[in-house]
Amino acid sequence: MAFPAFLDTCTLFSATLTDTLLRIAEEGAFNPQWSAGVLAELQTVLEREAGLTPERLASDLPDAGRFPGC
Amino acid sequence: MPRVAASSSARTYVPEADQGAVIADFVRVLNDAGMATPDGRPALVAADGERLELPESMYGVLRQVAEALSKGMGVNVAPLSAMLTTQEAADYLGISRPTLVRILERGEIPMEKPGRHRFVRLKDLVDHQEALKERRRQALEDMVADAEEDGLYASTDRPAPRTR
Repeated sequence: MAFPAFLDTCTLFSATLTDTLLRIAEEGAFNPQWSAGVLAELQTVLEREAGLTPERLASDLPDAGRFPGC
Repeated sequence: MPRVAASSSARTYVPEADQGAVIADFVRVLNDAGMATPDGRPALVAADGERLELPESMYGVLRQVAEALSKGMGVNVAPLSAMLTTQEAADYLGISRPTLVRILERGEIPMEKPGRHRFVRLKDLVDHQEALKERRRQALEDMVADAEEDGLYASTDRPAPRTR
């Protein structure tokens, strides 16, 4: 049975790491969790560090609506 | 609608310690021979000697169950029409009962409430899980495409900055 794991902002910061973790989770190895607070912080950090507009970023982030059940 | 109790229509089979070798042989022979050879097809011989050829579905069931048992795993066999209690449904999905109940109350999985208790059809659980899997797969694919387009893989290829 998949155990829950909370992914915080510094984990989700790296697109490569996020991609890898979510692919592992997709195989059912664990059940990824994050919060609206983590997503808001991630958005702020990425706007500053990657120079992206909030509109562009919205589609790059793993949000709860797109990962139902997480 | 009559409830087909999971407890009576479903059965759980657990491997028994002294049958490991027999089941391992079973798996090996079934796998090696396959579904058909020039000489015939897999069959069961009943206690009275009557020989019955196995249809493909039964062959598949036997092979799958034997394989799981040979690895020491228990197997639960239930018809898709089985109605499960909320606890059984939560166990099937690997989530807690309160979480399942919230999902039921949001109407994401059909349920029936003939009296005080809710019941969920196994088929609806399987469908829900498959739909969820497909939505996640699609979401991940979209996310990766968008992140690639924005160069996020390159621009975040370093430790996260300290924010506080």
